[in-house]
Amino acid sequence: MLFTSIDFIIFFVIVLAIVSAIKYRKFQHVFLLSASYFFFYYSSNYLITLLIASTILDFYIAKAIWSSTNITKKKILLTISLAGNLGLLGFFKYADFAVTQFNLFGNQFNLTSQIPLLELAIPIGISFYTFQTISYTVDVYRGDLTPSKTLKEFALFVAFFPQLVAGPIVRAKDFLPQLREKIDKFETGTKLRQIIINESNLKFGITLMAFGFFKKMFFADNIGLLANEVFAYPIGLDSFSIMMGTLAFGIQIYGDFSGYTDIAIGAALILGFKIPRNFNKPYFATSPSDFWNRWHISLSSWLRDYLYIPLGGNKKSNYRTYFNLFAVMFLGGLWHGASWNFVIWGMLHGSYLAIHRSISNKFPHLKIHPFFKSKFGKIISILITQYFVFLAWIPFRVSNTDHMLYSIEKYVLFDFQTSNILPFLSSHKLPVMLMILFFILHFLVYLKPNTLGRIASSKLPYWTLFLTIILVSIVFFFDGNPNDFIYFRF
Amino acid sequence: MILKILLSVLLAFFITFTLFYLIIIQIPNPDSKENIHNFFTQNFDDKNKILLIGSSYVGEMNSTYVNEKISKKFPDFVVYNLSYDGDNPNKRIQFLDDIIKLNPKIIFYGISYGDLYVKNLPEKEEPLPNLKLFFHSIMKDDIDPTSINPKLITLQNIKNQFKNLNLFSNSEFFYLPYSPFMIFESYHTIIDKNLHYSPPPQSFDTLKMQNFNNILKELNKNNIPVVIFTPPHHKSFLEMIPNHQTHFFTSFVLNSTNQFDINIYNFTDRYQNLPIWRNPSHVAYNTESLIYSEDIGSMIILELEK
Repeated sequence: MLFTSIDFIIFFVIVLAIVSAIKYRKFQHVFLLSASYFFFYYSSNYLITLLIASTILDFYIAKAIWSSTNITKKKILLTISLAGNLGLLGFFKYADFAVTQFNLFGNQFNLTSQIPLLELAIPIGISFYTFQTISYTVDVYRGDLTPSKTLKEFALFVAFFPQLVAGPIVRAKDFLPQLREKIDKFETGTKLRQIIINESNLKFGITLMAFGFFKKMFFADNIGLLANEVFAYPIGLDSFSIMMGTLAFGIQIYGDFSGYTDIAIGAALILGFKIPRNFNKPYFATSPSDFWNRWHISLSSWLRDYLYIPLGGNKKSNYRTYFNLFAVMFLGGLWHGASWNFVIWGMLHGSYLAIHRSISNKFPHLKIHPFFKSKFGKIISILITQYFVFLAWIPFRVSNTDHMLYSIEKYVLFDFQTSNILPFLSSHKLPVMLMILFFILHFLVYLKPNTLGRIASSKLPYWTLFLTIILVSIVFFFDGNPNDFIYFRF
Repeated sequence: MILKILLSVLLAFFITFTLFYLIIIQIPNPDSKENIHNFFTQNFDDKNKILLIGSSYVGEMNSTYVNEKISKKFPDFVVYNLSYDGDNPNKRIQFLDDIIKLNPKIIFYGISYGDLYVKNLPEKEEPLPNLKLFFHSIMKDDIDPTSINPKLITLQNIKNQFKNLNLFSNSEFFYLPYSPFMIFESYHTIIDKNLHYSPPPQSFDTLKMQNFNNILKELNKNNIPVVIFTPPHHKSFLEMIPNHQTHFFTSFVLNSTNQFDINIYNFTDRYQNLPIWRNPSHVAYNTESLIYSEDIGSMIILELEK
């Protein structure tokens, strides 16, 4: 169910109305769980069985890990959970990729027969909910988290519909306490908190959702057309066109994914749940590591906590640290999709992180150099970082190897074919104007960090005006066909 | 307070859609259901009517040129090109009665791959009931032949507002007298010589195929002669059509025409290498692209001479 479709709007309004009407917390939770399953079943049909299987597996294994005192038994149970979750993820998402690679390998040795592809449907959100359940079981294994008391509670954590399809990847230790919150925080008594549609949450949630729709439908969908046009067949295009296409895709994917996240966080907030933020103005990052502290935060922190640190993090030798950074980003790239272009994207980011770390290690004084502390130095750092971030968007967007290499070459080695600049700008006025508007707004939000909070707390007439402007922009620039979110396919 | 917040949201929606409505009614919409019905209910002169029907593949030819060519040889005949953007047999069948009442001498129906494709990717057959299909079938409205594109309307409005400032390129839209449901803009006239095409995977819609046959059957029942032709496409379009679809489409059209003993003209690959295209599936409305309209005119003359 697309967030930008009328189906979701109707669904969400009905869920809100029913949750408000239910007076007992237990029933509210049961209803939210049913609504979440309905949400998933609506678009994924029988694949809901995988979600349920993953939920049941981790609920009981985590319980068994918690109650066991034998470390070997704990390890075996953890291995079963990991094998189950990663097995499902691997089978549905990577089986055909592996078969294709095997067949290609076989061709090198003139093997005549080929293994047929399985052509399985990829369950929506499997990469996200699998990571949630893994983190839950690992946290219980590490002793950082008390296992969920009831299956219903755990199932709601895994399937909670706002973040089910494309994150943010929520940790159980952030979500479960919200279900268990006692009412005495607000009033006297010890009853568990009932879900009440609260005024400030409602207003802020609607503001966030509106902003998310705006990012997705006004910016991403309209600017994305330019990227689609450029990368449909980039061979023969000049450097300027390729750079504009790359810029357009960078904005598209940010608007698309952070827009989705805003809608998810806003919807959850209206229902009284806080989901951690996933983006923090990533295009103002001053270094590769800063970028990953700002982009897809829930994934990068997941990779840090459950992959980078277990690999040794930066506690071993420098070379081991560089390897760890590279390996983690390689797997992060593969997590996005079973295709080499995502792997290349991950490897590029892994290289950026490793090179940046190595420079920082070799020249530690650079960090505190007055130039990089100055405004100008900061602008230079941002521009250099973003040049490389946008370069990496090319393999993320372009899966055809020839097209990718050509685009990268034109991006890196500027060809100075200036004759096409004006005709290009003239024939793409709308996306170019939207790109400029995006950067202006992005910059304003960067300067005033709590813009959304201020809008949400403004007086009702001003707030209504804000909503109307957003709605007008969305409706008047909507081409009649809701576009999928890019991250839905991961 | 919660009620006030919800009322504010409703107010924002109300203002937005009222504004949109006010703008939409100012924009001429030649292929609206209302406009199509208005066309059919007007008083026509006594000339014999020849109708061209189909989607934009047919609509974007130079109907004025075709009409002049026919009038020179057959002064008592007039050609109306009743094609419009996004037509398909499911939509066309809704105006079949109007077409029949017009009592045309002959109808030339251009049918192509795009007219028979499923609009969205087909839903796979699922082992459990498909709720999405169920709800969409409840909400589905097949009556209106047009789908509203607010973005297009907004851009047209912006262009009109700023036309005196020369901010936008020459993009006034125009109409052709004998092509009442088509709207042309400057981009329709530009020949693109660097065409490439990467279509999403699509499949044929059985309902559209059924309705195509139903249209032929109904016209046959009413003794209205029909000629089928397959509009032309650029080679980059044709190369991307899977072989099985090419075979399927060809045999489907042949079966349908054989069933009612209808003549068929194949234009599909006739101009595939010529520099006459505005995009891989549409010939540009341009003097250098007149070959398409010329050949359509010849086809009509050939049929009239029979």
